[in-house]
Amino acid sequence: MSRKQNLYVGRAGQMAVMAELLWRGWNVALPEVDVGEDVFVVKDESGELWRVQVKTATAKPQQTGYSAQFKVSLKQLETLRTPDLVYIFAIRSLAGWETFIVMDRSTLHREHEIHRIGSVSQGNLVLRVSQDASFLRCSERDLLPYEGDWSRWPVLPH
Amino acid sequence: MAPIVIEVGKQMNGATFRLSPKTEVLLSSRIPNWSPASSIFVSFDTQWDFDRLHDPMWTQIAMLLTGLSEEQIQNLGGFIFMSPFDKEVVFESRAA
Repeated sequence: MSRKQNLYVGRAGQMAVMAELLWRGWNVALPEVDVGEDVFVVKDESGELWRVQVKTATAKPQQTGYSAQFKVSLKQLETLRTPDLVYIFAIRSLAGWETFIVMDRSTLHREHEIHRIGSVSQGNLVLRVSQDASFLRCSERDLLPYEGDWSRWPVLPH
Repeated sequence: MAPIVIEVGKQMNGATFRLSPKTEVLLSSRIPNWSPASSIFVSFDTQWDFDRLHDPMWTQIAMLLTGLSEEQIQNLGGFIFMSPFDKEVVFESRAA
């Protein structure tokens, strides 16, 4: 995929995540300069803030299901901040959005440190996600608990 | 014995502290029903550096994060505060 195509796909994932959050009643904001976070999620009444990094990949069809590959900066993964970062991995196929995997930075860091999820290459953690009717996993780790886990942002009535 | 490792993240108005994943696994395997705080943020109103944290504060942060007493922490080997990316140790108190 060309660099230009990557920009389009990445932006599409960011917009899809923002659309989902807005539908849930959460306000979103984009930083003027992209230096790490892609989206800020804000609870209007309380000012609570989440920092979200969206990673988007195009699904590659397999014999059954599909696979998708993401790259996460190790420096970002290992940097503690308050508020902490939430990763959202968006997977898109020709048919539409397949899934969104929502995972705290600390959870992904633990999965990498303890369970060796992904592989390290040139300062990045490379995650190859595979999906079938019965599983969604990376490096043999089950990602189903994180699939579509929007529980941090329950639907808010306005 | 391996000391407790506490990861630190410095930012302009303070610092975030969190047990390392390996320390979390170690403590949860040794302490039944262990339920630690996930992280602690120490806030300052002005720009600051780690030099402004005095010795007792490091110990108190370790106690808050682990839920253990100072004696229990020393019995486990003490503690290290470390930046997770570059592995820089910003403070340590190892058991004698």
